Amino acid sequence: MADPELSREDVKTAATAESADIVIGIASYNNARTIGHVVRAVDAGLAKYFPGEKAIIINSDGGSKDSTPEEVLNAKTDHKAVFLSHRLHPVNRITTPYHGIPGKGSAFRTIFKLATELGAKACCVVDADLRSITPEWIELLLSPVVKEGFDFVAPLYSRHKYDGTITNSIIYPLTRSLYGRQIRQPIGGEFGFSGKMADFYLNQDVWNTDIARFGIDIWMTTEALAGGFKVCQSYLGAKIHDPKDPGSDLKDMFVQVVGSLMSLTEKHHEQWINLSGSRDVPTFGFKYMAAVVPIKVNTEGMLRHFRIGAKNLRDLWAGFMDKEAVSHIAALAREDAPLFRFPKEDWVRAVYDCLLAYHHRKLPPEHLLKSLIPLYYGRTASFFLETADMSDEEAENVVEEVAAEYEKHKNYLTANW
Amino acid sequence: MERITDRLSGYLSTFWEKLMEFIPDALIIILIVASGFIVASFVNHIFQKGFRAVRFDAWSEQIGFTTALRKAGFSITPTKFMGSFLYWFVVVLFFMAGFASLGYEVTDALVSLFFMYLPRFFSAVVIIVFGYFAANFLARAVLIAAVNAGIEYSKLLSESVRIFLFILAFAMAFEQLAIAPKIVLTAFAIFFGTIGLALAIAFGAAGKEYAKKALSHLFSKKEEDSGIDQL
Repeated sequence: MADPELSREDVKTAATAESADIVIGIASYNNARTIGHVVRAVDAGLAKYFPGEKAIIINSDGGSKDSTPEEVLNAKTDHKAVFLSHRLHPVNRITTPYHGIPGKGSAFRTIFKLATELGAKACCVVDADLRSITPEWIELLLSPVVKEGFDFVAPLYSRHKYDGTITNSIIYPLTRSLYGRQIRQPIGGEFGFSGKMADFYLNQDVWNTDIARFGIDIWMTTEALAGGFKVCQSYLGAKIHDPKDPGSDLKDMFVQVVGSLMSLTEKHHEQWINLSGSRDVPTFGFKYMAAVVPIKVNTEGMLRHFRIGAKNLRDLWAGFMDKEAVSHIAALAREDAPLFRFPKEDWVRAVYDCLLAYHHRKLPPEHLLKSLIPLYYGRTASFFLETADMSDEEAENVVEEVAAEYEKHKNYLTANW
Repeated sequence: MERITDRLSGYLSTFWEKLMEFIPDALIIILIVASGFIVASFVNHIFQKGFRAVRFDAWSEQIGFTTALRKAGFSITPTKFMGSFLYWFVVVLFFMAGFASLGYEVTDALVSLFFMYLPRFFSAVVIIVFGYFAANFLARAVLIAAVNAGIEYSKLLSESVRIFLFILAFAMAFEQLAIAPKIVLTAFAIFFGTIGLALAIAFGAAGKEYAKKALSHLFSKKEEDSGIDQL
């Protein structure tokens, strides 16, 4: 029976292709500028590394107002003759607009559904706004599944030290501390997974929740970790994508991503509560020094936000954080920029207190998460100042130290859960 | 002298007769009120048990009811507070029922007035309670939004919203209780009209430059933000 969330068109397109060994999903929305390149890279990767497999590229589009679907269907690979000669089955390209709640979650559901119906043994999803994707990414995301039997492949990128600050300060260290596996980019956006994993995802009851709407990346990673699946990561090089929508708001993004992580932490408390420490996951790909796009940051602006928060939100923070810690944070706000430091111990404690308050329903989730934003600004400004003269590799060590701090104090979280 | 004694004994015997007539009524009132205390204790016990079962205290903590009680000088838990409220409400109900049993014109009028006033009283209580929670929730939402928008005096703004909503709720409750509705309405209109006018003048005269700066800061921030990918 057709799923009510999938349109007739989806079902029809699934029916035209009877089976596939590999399914590549590309979720898009107004990505006409880059999606052609992404499809060509995917096409070339499939032809070069999986010539004997029957593969399908699924573009699940969120109703783009530009020519994204046309770009997908018109995309031609540069070396088509060469690659096609190695191919047993031509790569089909299907454009399926997705419906239901708008966003990446709905797109991925469509992809999981079709992957399951087509009996795919390996799948991967890539973002449609990528500029730095190469055919090798497809090999790196699929080979661990096809050749090594892994269920889930997370991406590993070279990023500028100032890039991915939410990932570096909360998502990576907290996921690592909770589930005991060192997946560096839990919300990277590009993932490889087995057909079994796609079927597992499809059958989870999340598709009408906020997690499906806003936190599909962290959900995929967390479910793979909490579900005991075989996970690994692949080094893809530098990730360069189209500039994000200038109208997109950090506050909403923060609430959506961190809120999804906290919601999943509640859901899987039985899986993480008895774990301690962490271990590395198998890493594929050759790590090299990739050039990353330099980033200009507004440290003073972040500090200003932190100071305003410390001045106005003290009482609110004291409602779910240790009062001494709040006083200490308020004292930090009086430090001038060059010397300003937000100690990692205070930051970790604040995140754990916020997570506990979320669990114990001390405040409405949105208020709680938004009240954490000034603290995030403070910690991020401190990180920028601390690593100003460091290389990306040295700054990475600071991120690792923060992650170790999360692990060190995990017993505080478990004791108060 | 004899006449005085006769008249006094006449009065005393009438009083005695009336008292003898009243004693059964008084006993009935005492009985009703006593049973009221027993029923109230039972209701209190049942509701406290129910409130504990649904974790009313934890919920009250979350929505700020516990804090409100503490601020109002109650050092008991929200469950006990609600239990006590219901207890005394049931006692008063039985007390009024006892009065009604007398069948006097005055007590009948008093009792019917009481029962006619009850819906108004409860509406006013609901308005106050809802107003309190709405004011706290919205004040907190304004505080957090203002802080994240980079407004220095976010707390002042948030407290203004809280006070405005409290006054609005109390004015509505007074109107519901029919306590000087015209005065309340007029005072309310004058008070907020004055505040609105004062704010408009203040912002127009003194806030022009600040508004300009705030807007330019907002737009320049958008441009700066677009360079970094926090995810």
